[in-house]
Amino acid sequence: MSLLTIKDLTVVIDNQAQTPIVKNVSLRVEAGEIVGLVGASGSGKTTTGYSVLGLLDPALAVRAGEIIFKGKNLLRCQEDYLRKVRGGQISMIFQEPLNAFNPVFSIGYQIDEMLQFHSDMNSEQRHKRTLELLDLVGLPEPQRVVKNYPHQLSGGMRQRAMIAQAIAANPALIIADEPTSSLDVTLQARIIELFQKIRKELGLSFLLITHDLGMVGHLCDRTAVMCQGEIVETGETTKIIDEPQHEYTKRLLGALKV
Amino acid sequence: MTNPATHSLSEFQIAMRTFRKNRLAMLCVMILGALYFSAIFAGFLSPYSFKSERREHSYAPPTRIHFVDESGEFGWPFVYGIKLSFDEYYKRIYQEDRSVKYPVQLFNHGDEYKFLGLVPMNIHLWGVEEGGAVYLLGADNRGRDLLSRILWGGRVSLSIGLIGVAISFSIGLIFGGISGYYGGWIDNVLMRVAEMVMMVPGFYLLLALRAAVPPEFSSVQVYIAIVVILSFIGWAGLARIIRGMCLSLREREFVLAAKSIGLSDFSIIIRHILPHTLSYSIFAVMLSIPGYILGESALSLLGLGIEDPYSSWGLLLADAMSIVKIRFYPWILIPAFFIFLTIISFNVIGDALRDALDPMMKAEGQRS
Repeated sequence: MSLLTIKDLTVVIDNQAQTPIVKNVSLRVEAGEIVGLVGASGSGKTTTGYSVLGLLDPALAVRAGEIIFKGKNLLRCQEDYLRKVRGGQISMIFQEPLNAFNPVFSIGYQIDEMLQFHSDMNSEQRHKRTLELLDLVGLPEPQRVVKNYPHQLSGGMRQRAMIAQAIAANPALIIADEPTSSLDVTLQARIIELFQKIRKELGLSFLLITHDLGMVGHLCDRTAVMCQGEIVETGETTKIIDEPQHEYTKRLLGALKV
Repeated sequence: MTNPATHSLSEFQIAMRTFRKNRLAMLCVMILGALYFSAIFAGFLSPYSFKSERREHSYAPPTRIHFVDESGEFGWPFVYGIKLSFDEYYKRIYQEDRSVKYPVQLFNHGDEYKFLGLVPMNIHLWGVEEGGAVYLLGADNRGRDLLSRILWGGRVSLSIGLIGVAISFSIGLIFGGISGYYGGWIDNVLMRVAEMVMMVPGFYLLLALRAAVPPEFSSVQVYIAIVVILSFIGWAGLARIIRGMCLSLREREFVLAAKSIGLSDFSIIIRHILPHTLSYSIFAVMLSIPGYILGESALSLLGLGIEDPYSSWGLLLADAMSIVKIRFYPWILIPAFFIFLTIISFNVIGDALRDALDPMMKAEGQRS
């Protein structure tokens, strides 16, 4: 059984009959696997990611489909259970960590918060664990970073801190929404290395939402290509990059090679 | 961190640094500190209790404290006795009775009171021995020391502001937070309720609510009732502003991020949204405390608040409502000076905090 299975997911705006934002999307993530979800802006890939955690904007609604995580359909679960899943089982990495961290609290406080909700460690243990996490994601001087505020870190450090927060409660799956789009190319490579390291050491699965086919090629085992709310092609990453079947995938790859 | 330029100051600490540079505001902090200190230790600092009266000293003028005696020698301060006589219109005339001398005593034993409201004590910081009387700021119609009554009255007048603000701001923050975070019909309902409270002119609402309080209430119950009434009127304006701030804050990505780590809506409001309204709330608190103090004073002035023999600044001023009394006994206006000082101080501190906490305003100030 897969870790996460999305079956025929359809998301619409305000329950109106217009063209759905996400149309009959099916996707599966196995334990320990990195799956890429590629597409242009507005193709519905982020919406798909958000619907897994029930974080959709109130104006959007899931019309049909199932999201099965560890044998439970998340769309039918109570809010209480979903809260345990969020962060505890599935955590999220956002595109711009500067916005995703609360600017008025220190990095340490915000990682600590994750542990507060998803573990029963006391404050001393949580502090120790926070330092370990910051060290694990390769931040120099964790003692100092713990006390820093988000705006005091550089973009790359912030994204590492965000990853530290995401893995804090030992989740089974991380949904990364364009995790490197706001970083420059060298930093992107470092973050990709970090993802590989985390996968190897912690055995996590990733659902990587991106428009960067280069990153997908480096990282993902399987890839799904989304276009206008639909998955147009899915399969092994190498296969998709070497022998794209769909017209849209070819255009995407063509754009990369220019 | 030896280097002060190290990035370890939070926004709040930076604001406090700016605040401390404002001399006028720091002076007001000290004034308020002194006033609150004297209110807390009113029993010890005042020579008499708020209810010890000597009818024969009705409206005795402020007592002079002498340092030089008849022989012209400079020494320990003392007061003369008070001699009462009547003129041809039976007006009371108080004169110093030079035949008796009462030295000022430190730590003398006088009226019983409870130190900090707990420990029974009768030691006062200063006073004169039995038989003599010292009225530094004069006496009221029943011959009670005005200074003592002002210090005791400060307990009511000064605490009502703090407690009232604490209650109404808790209500305002929660109301505004919930309203702004959820939006939709919840927002509609909560804001219409707030508007209904705001719609009625404050002072008449105050009077109406006071009228609803049973007349047989004890003074403590009246005090609590006044606090609750004042808070009930005060929360609505704040709730509206907090709601507006939350409406924009909830769109920020960190709210989504907080949700994605499994926080409940309530935790998100309390832990992630309301802290962003803190800088506004802090100076709004400071600027609204005077309203509570004035509200209590107004009620007591009209005889609807604290009642004799208990004391509050508004109640003390009630005595000064007749022009004749002010003409003959001008010292009964002194409580007004204390109200004035307190309110000015809170306003100056509130303004200074606003300047310190709002970086946008600061930037504007530098540009102009």
